[in-house]
Amino acid sequence: MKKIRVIIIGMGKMGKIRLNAFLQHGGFEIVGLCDSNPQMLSNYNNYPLFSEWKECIDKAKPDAVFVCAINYLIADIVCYSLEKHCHVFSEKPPGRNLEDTLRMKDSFEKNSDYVLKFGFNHRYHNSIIEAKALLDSNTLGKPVCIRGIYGKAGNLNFANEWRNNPLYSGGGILLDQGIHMLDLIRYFLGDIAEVFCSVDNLVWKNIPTEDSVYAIFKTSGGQIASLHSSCIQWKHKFDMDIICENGYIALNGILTSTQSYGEEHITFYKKDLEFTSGKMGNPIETTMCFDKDSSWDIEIAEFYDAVAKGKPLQNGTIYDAVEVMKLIDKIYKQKGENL
Amino acid sequence: MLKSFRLNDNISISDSIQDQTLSLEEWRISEKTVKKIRNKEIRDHPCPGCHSSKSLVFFEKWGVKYLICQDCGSIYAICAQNEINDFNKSTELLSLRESSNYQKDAFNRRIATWKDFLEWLQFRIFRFTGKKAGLSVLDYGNRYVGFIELISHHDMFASYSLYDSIIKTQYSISSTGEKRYDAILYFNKIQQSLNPLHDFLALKDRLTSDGLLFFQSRVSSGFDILTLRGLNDKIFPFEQIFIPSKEILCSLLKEAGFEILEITTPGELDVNYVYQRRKELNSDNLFTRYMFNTASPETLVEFQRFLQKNSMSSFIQIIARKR
Repeated sequence: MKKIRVIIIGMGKMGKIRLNAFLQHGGFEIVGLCDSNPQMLSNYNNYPLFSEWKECIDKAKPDAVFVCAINYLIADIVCYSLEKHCHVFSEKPPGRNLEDTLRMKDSFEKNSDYVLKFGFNHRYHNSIIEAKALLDSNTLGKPVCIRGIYGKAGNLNFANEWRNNPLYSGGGILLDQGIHMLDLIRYFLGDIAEVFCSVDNLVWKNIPTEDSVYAIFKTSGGQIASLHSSCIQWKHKFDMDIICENGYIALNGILTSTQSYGEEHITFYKKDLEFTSGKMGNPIETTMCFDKDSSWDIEIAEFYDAVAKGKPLQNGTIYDAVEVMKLIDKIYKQKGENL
Repeated sequence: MLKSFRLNDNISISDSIQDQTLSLEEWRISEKTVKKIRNKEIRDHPCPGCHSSKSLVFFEKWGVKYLICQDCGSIYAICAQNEINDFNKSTELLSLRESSNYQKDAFNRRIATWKDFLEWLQFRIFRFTGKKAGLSVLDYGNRYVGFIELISHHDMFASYSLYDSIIKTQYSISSTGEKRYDAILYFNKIQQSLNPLHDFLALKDRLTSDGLLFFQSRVSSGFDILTLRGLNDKIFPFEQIFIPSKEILCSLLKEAGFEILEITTPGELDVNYVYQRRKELNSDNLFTRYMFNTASPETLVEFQRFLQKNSMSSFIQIIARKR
């Protein structure tokens, strides 16, 4: 198996997850770990360690750079890595704003022999894979609308987290978490033509970023989606309903390392207008439950195959990133001009 | 990994998949046949799954001893291959199973389940191969004319072959030959196997390079199997002589060169089977007796769902891909 020489920039939670996925995969040689906080590197003395990202790229000379850094550094690191002829995988969001994303797109187009992938990791969750297969197989007909809720519980230190400092993060709960569901809406329905929204601070009045986004999207084909991205759910919650011409899909819960979003399952049924189930208004449902999150491994395998075998990227391309950031840009620009 | 697959939630405790008269007749003929062909000289043999000789007597039916393997948990009958062959060739049993009454009853009671199954099959084939049509399928041992008709005419299959079935159709083949298939349906056949690894290896040889095996069987860890023991009307010689454990099935499939894609127990009938025999449960089976004497039908349905969801039903379904 060809080994890809890789570095990770940013050894917080995501950096550690990616490191584990590399070890699990076996096709990566870790040639550098970088974090400006030495404590984050204290358990990794068997790898070359760096505190400054440029130095890490220049000295380690990797084939690929994994960017797990704070949002405001992402575009700089991605562009520099591409200019140094490295393949790049970057966590979401793809920069703080659309300007950052477009800058990365320019850099990628100048270095298009190299792979650039973003971590829209939810596409690799089992329930999402099953939902996509149901839609692509046309088992339930064409999807016509989607309702999505992605919510966080918050915590005592929530107001002071870097995620709520727009200088570092670029945005609030929508950019941090709602972006995953936006990506899924695009994944299931295609590109969005119109956006209506309300961006608010309904409870956390003193933070500079929003605590709630209600958004309604419409495709050029007339499909509709709604999203409530919230950090005032007061518990972790992931729910998505997909209504199709001939049936329905419910995605509830999503497996994470903390298991705090509940059991991941998908339920679907076909419309039953003749009540063949014998129960009026209750079609026969099928439910699938999952007990293992393989998303990190599948995502890493796709990146490996793109770099080592030249396979085209299916998910998390710069074009996915640009389209989703265009939506976020439109939503944030409507702040103050709410629904 | 997929933890559970509830094929549907339309469970009813009073449902039955066979007419009572036909069921009793099948039972009567089977008992008569077994007693006639039984070789009383047969000695205990190791577990067909793991070859361990450590076992305990689980129950005895019609003079045939069923053991439970202490190593892999499988349940197996002490019998010989020629007894199974003779049982399968019993003209009286064949005649009943081929009869229009038998086939009509199966059709009426199972048609909805068969249709659900085919939709599910199409979805799973698309999920794992990306293919929706033009597939070849080999169906092992299917003995229901209505089900054969449904599968053979389904849009997703360009060719259908029926092997080792009591039903003779235009699709029947006498040998699997060298042809390779995109999918194999192998339902319940393992329950008559004295060499399951050999059977899995043979199945692998008949699949295309990314072909899928769809496997169904009863499993020894299922609720009705362990609760009813010899009272279970659905387990009798030589129809079922090997009830594998989930664990040994996984191990054998992997050894034979399969990658297991999903394992679920979507069974709907465990509670029903125990409910029918609730008055005969052992007197020391206190909780089960209490539950079946006092629980409402809704509670029992909920219990069946619990079994399905947590891989504790006695009906297992596996999808495996040739490695």
